Amino acid sequence: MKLSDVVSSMHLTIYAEVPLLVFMGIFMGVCLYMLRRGGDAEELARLPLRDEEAARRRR
Amino acid sequence: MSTEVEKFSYDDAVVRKFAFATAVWGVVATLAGLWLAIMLVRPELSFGLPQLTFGRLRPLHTNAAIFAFAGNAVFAAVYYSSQRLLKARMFSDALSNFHFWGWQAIIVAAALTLPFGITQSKEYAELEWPIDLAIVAVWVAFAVNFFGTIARRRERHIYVAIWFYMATIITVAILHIVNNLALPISAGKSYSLYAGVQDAFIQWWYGHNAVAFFLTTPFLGLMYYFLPKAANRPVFSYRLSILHFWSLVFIYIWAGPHHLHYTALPEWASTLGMLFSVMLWMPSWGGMINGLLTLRGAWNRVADDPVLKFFVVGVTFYGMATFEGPLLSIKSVNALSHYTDWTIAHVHSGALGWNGFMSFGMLYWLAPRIFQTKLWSKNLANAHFWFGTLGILIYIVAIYAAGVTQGLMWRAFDETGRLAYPDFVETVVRILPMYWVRVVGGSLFVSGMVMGLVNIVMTWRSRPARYEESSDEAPALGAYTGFTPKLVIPRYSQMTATGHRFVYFVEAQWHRVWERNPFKLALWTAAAVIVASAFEMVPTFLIRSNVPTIASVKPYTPLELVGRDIYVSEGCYNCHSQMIRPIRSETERYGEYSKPGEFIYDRPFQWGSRRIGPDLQRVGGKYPDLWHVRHMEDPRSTTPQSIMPAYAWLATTALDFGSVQKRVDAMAMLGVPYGEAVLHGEQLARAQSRQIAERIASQGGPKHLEDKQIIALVAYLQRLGSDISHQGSTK
Repeated sequence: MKLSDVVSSMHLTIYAEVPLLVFMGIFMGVCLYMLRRGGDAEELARLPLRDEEAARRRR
Repeated sequence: MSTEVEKFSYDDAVVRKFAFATAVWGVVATLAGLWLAIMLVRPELSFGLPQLTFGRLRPLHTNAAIFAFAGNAVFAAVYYSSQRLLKARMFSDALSNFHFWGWQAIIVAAALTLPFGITQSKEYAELEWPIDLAIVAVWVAFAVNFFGTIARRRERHIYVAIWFYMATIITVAILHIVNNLALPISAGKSYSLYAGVQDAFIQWWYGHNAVAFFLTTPFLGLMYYFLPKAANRPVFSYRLSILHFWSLVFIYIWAGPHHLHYTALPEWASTLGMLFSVMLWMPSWGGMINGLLTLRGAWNRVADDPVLKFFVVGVTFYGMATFEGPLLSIKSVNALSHYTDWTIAHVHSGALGWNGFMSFGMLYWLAPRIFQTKLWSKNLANAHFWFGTLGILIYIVAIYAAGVTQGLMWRAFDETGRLAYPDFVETVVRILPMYWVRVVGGSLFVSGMVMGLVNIVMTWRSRPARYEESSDEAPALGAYTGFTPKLVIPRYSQMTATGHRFVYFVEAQWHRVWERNPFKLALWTAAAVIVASAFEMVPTFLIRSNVPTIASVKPYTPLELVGRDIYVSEGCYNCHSQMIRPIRSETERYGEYSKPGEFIYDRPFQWGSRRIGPDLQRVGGKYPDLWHVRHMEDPRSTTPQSIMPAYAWLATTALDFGSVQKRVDAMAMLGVPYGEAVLHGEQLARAQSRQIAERIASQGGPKHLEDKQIIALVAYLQRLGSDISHQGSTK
């Protein structure tokens, strides 16, 4: 018996909906996390600008 | 723990090289595109040379635009920004140089092979296996260099731009390897390990995600670094950028099947592709808004600063393209747009507007810094911006109009219920004026690219005699002293251990840890991509009912197989589809709709993605053999208004019978039941070619064609789609 025989006989009628729900759930989870996240985001957003800020300080 | 400040320098030499390459290949890629646009209205400009036909040159244009222009821009962005964001010089200068020269060698190899018909004929993955292996070697070197730099970093937190680069490196590696698995029969020819529906599925899983992970994620990384730098403001919302990242990683990878609506792909896969594409709408627009709002308080500078102008229009085009993409993935819209120039307009608004303008915004910002002098001409940069913007707008408006016109004309019925435009060429002639307008728009855009190149070269020429080394200082990465969330379960607590774990999970404190842990970030990115891909691939490959076999569908004869390889080599798929959708206007025009079981011996599949010419799925037996000979010799002798180039050399070039057996053996090795042909491939091919040549001579055509390439191509074309007419049984 081949793997394709096994999979074909499984009648995975809701197969396509499962990942849709799982991945949408993760997506919603990330959304929630972003809404709840603490205030360090402001500081992290400045990372690309730090080298110039440091250079200015050195000057 | 070391807190001693370390001094270090950045490798900007490699950034300079990639920046130059971006400007040079940008001109080459767009010039090739302009030449192709002209050839669509003046096909005689191929001058009867095989190397100059549309079918062979179009992949050169697309590969140059994606991998040479956009690719070099991405690498310039990665090498410049990663070093600064990670506070470390690249892991290895030798690997950086190997990456640069290896990538340029691959581009040159593409330019030398594609015009000579050496192609896999998979869109944006046309390069044959030796070049594919070279890509793997260069990509691995890039990955080692990039992850090695992360390992040596002096900045604990990994900024979101680096996440986007990381996702690019991991996912492109997976996509490239899986899509290019093939059995080589010579240095310039291989057969895909996948056939028909599976091959189509894998190709568009690759094709769509090449857009996602080569033309989107690295450019978002570029945006999240260079836009704040140019605006001198932090990104509007760092939270939104993280949401943007994960939603692209988790959603984008599913969307590929929307390229195959109403084809022989299983319905569930197509629906899944559509749903995930629509879900992409919000995060993509979130990203665009995040980009534009980064300019809050700096809008007054946009009018004066060419860098910001390029970025603003680039991000706006990102928004337009990511609005239009999900729209086109909706089945009812796709029924109209697919195979038309609408898709071409969509692609060019993304490639020229988003990738092109973000690249040049970055180059103009980088040029004074990496060449350590002033930009040669701000006025020329502004002129580039306006030429480019106007060029894109003229181009896409004309091609949108052409696409909608095509789509509506193909599906139009008259009052008697018959096709209003039964002759395909009528729909071609109608859009030729728009093709001329495209040439005008393209010329403007190319002029802008030339201005960009001149500006970069002239800036480089005014560089100092010796570059000052770009240096920085930062403490070594010791034990992190800032806040690190940990799962702590107190001994005496009213909440159970499970409760604490639940809170830790729900508050997503683990994510804060990941943001400093490249291993976990990379692992979860790879897991998301692999799991999503497996969910789509496993049933496509393993559930038999998805591709029901048809008893009357037999393998191609050895001669037809050679003819098919000529069809592949000439890049016919660039203008002709082989996929009749179950839509009345299509079945009326072309015949019975395509069934999945008809393609089980097609390696590679040849469904195509646009119809500059008509679909060929049921062309077998539609015309006499002589018609095909005359048509290939001079298309306008059979269809006066045709815009197809002539393929006259096919009637004079010798057919390589010596390679027939090798081709048959390779197919047999891949599971094609060839029977007698495995032993006598060449004899069978010669016998069939004699029959066809005699038939052509008896129809009043040229004599002695039996050893010419045209015979094999005629054999293949006459077989196309004819198997199901022999009997309709399925098993």
